[in-house]
Amino acid sequence: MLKHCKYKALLISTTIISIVITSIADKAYALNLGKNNTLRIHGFLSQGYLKSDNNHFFGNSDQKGSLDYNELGLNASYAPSEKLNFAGQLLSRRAGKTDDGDIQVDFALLDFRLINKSNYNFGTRVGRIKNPFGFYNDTRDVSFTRESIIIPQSIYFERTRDISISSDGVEIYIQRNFTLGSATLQFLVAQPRVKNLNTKLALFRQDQPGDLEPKPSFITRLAFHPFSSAFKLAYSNIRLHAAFEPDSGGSNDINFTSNIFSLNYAYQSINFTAEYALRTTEFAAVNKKQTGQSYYLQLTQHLSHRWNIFSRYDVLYQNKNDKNGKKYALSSTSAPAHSRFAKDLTVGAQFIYSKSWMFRLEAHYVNGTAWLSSRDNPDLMDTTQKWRLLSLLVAYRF
Amino acid sequence: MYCIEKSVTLLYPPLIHKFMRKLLFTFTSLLLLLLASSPGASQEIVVNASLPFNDVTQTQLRSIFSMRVRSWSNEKPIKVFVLSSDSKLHRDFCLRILEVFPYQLQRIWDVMLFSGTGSTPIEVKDERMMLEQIANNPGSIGYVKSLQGEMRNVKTLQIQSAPY
Repeated sequence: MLKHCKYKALLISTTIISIVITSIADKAYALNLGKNNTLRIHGFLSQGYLKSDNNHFFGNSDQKGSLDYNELGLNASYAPSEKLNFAGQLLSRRAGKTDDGDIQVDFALLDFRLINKSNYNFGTRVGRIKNPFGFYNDTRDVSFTRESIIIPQSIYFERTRDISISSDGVEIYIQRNFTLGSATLQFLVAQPRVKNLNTKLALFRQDQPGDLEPKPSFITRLAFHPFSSAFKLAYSNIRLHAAFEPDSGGSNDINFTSNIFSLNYAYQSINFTAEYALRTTEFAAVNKKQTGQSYYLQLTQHLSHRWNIFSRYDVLYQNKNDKNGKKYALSSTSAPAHSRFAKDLTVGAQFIYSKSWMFRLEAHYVNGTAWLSSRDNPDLMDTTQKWRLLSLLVAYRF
Repeated sequence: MYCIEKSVTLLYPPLIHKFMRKLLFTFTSLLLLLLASSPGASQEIVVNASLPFNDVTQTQLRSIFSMRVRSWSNEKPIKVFVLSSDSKLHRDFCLRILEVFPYQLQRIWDVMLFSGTGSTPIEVKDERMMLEQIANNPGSIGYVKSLQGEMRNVKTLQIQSAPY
């Protein structure tokens, strides 16, 4: 199934990249250990390989497989005092036709910690801020911080990344240590990044003549870590607002609401994570409302400090009142019933060679195509309901 | 283990059957090795001598090393020093003193770093550098295998058994 030449291509590209990066990394470390350790520079890089038996994910994965998936990030932070911190990250990401590798400002913020006590922190962040929701969104493009090559697609869609990853605005945060544990509240007021084709495609299935305009939106996350046990709990609430202004005139409000419940439990070498989300998209002008449902369960076993294996069951329904998409298919000629759901069973393994190098392998067995991008799969009627995906990833960080 | 293997085989008959079997075999061997490895070496918590306390609880240590608590109870800022997460001493410190897996701590730091929401501990090359930094930075904390003899500006913290 995996052609020999693909291994070769992967190896060659990885080697070249690693040589370049290692030479840069040595210089970067020098900065890190500089005077007072106030300026810090870090980075990450990953290259993936995907092979599917049907359908396209991150490029033409169904033929010889796709190498069209990589992430490259450069991160800098500067803390002139205990209360002030500047932080920013540039990101270049290629992922099939949904991401072209252009360098983007992932975040760029000023963090001002107004109160900094041993059991109580309060402060504000201004600028482009990572959207605080769920366990993984804040660092979803850094492979070292994920559990898998492909992040659970039911909650962290790739189709709508631009609005998901970060937004421009102001965040207030409060962190408090109680006797029982530590609680953190984040509240973000921002303009969502809706002015792009990916968001339009996610909303309308096809490009529409007109512009999406952002409106003030809100994201709240409350997280709790009890001291006495290894639980981590979080609740996130997302309220995104935008207006679609068709070229033909007028303006239609679009509201997106989501509630996400997250739970993580670490018992010795076992790590269990589950997240559940309800998402409602409302097109005010036509009085159309649709609620989707998502969840996943994930179990990771750390076999040693180098090896871990994981399995995950990830489920996405576009409309919880039409889970199998049959009602939808009756009135649609452009997308089949199986484009309304996706159930993904994944097994994978990770090998950590050192703090800087990591390798992953995972296999997906998917029923449904709800999280496939229509940019990689232009004719959704031509997609296959049951498909498999095998993926390899090598990642480096400094 | 057999169950996992069986379900994998059912899902991917020709594709990774052989490979997964090898993989699972490796995992099982590694697991056994892990269980057989003996405990041993102790570690000591070291702080700058100007700190007006002599003991600390495990909960406080976890909060300090996960960078959730950023100042001492006298409101002086905490400066955290660690060794590379590749080092055995760091792993032993996480497992035996903090009783958390090193990957858990690394994950917390990585999320702060790569989302711009917090600062991470300062990594030093070896124990000698650790002691040098602790001696020169008021409010600093770190760990060494053992503190041999008198060291100027550095003292050890005792870990209290009280839960909080």
